[in-house]
Order: sequence, then structure tokens, then C-alpha cells
Amino acid sequence: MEGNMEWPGDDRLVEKAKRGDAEAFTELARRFEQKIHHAILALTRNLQDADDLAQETFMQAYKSLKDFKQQASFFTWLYRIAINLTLNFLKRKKKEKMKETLNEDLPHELNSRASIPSGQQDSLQKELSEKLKEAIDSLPALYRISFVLVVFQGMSHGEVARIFRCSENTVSWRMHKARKMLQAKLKPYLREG
Amino acid sequence: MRHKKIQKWLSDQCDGELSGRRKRILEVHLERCALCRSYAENLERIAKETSKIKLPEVSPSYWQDFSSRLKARISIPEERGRAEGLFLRWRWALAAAASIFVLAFGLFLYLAQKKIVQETYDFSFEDSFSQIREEIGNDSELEDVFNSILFASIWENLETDRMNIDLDFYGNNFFWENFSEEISAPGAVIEKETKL
Repeated sequence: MEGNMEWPGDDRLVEKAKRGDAEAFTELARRFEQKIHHAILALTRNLQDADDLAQETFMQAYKSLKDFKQQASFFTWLYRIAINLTLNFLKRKKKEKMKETLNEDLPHELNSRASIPSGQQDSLQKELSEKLKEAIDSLPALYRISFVLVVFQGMSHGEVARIFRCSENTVSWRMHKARKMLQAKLKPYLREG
Repeated sequence: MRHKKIQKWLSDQCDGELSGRRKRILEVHLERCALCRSYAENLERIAKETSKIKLPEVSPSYWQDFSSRLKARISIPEERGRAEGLFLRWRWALAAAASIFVLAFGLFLYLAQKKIVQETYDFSFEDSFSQIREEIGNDSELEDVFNSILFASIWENLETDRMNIDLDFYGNNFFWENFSEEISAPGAVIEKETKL
């Protein structure tokens, strides 16, 4: 295909890709690669992991394209694959981390407020930022993914609900609980502000 | 209970998912409730801090590289699939050829073995006699018929060969010792009848 040729909509491209047009699939991937990569990166916080998982997402999508019934949009379907892969990856990583922690016997807890030097607003602010990242990472997987998709990806509850195949209300509750958990974990720092 | 509901609405408001009517109820509640106001302030602070979190920057060349790597990976399964298709077709042909060879070799072995058996076949009087005895089993009529045939055959041989055999050979122990047990019965009949 010519480079300057106008590409058709996602559905047309999906149809073409289903018939074995690799170029059409590459164009679809090009359209969504940044969003998918960004979502995975927000969850893994590691560029290499995000790269591997994003590549794997598109490969898996390409392989199972024939099974895609187009009941949801390609974008939602792609996100579903990415989220599943990332979820499995995070579970594996969590297990490995737990093993390491057990081996090192070092508790990974949020510091108490008493350990923060008083009057050092900048350092407190920096620490809050770090603790916030840690707190987000420590959220249960489903809450964490919902939080990342809504807050970092700017998705609506409805879009997230379609990815998870659940109701919007479920997403709404997950977001509320995720925020409550974050508040509880960051309580010592939030009072200061 | 009221606070819980309000706090959930506050979360929805953060995501821009709260309806106009609920927004108004929320505003009225926050004016009155210090607890929920504090909760709302904390949420606002978390949102502010979250917006500051920066993900690692990715250069434009990264996306070019990402796309070309993906394209390369996509084209590999296609080629592999074609190769696998060819291999599958060849595999069936090879399997069919191997089956035909095995069948032909088996048939050859079977026929060769049959030939060897035929060539090395040795007549065994005792084996034949055992087979006949087996077939007769407990059938007394069949046994009588067999005995009479055997008896007639012996006499016929004696006459045709014109052998000068002592008729008293029935009393010859050497003869009976070398004769099988199976024909001892017809032998006894012969002996009985000659004595008579």
C-alpha cells in the first residue's frame, strides 16, 4: 500500500487483517500502540517490561484475530488482551517479589510520619510522591488497573467496564475503594497538607 | 451511611462521572460536613500528586523501532505457517510411503516364512495319528470306522508286498514297543481276530 493513501476505519482494517492482510494489521497496531504501551507502562513502571508486554499484546491479537467477533470495538478487545497479559505479568512479579522479600527478610512498609524530618516541606513532598507510587503499586490488581485506566489513561467508567466486561457501577466502586485505600496508606502525609 | 455515599460520589466527581443533581446534593453536604470536606481535600491532594507522576519518556524513534519489530514478528509466523503447510503435506506423503513399505515388507516376510515352512515340512506319523485321535475323540462309531480302515490297510499291505512275514509278529514285543500307543487299540483287535 502507498504511504500517503488514506486508511479506512478500524472495522475495515480489522476485516482486511482477518483475511490475512498484515499491512492492515500493522496500521491498526500503529493506531493503538502508544495508548496500549502507555497503559502497560503505567502499570509496570518499567520501559522494558512495557515494551515486551505491548509487543506480546499485538502478537496475541494478530494470532487470535480470527476469533474476534467484533462485538466490542477493536480498541476494547486489544485493551482486554493487554490487561490480561499485564495482570498475569504483575501476579508473577508479585510472587517473585514476595520470595525475594522473604529471602531478604526486609519488611516493605510505608514509613511512619515520625520518620519524616519536620520542616522539610520539599523532602516531604518528594516522599509523598514516592509513597503515592508505592501505594498505587500496592493496590489489588483490579483496583490498580481500574485506577490506572481512569486516572492515567483518562478512560470513562463505561470504557473500563467494557474492557472488564462488568457494569459501570462496579468500576465506580472500584475507583472509590482504590481512593479509600490510597488515603489510608498516605494518611500520615495527607494530614500535613 | 450518608458519608459513605457522599465519599463515593466524591470519587465519581474526580472522574467526571457525577450527574448534575448529585453534584448539587454533594455541594450542600460538603458545606455542612467537615468529615466529608476533609475527605474531599485529601482526594484532591491525591489527584494533584497523581497528575505529577511522570512515566518514562519514549522517543519518536522508539515507535518506529516498535512498529518495525512488530511487523517483523508478524511476518515470521506467516512464513513459518507456509513452511509448516508444506511440511504437513510432505509429512503425509512420507507417512503413506512408510506405511506402504512396512506392508510390503510384512507381506514379503509372511510369504517367505510360508515357503520355508512348506520346504522344511517333515511327515510325522505320530503327529498325524494324534490329530486323527483328537478328531475321533469319544466318538465310538468313528473309532470303529478308523480301526476297520486301519486293519484293512495293514492286511492289504501284507498281501500286496507279499512279504514273508511271520504271522506271529503280533507276539513280537519289539514291534509293539516301536508302535505308538495310539494304534495299540486297533492292534489288539487285529491280534484278537487272528487268534480267533
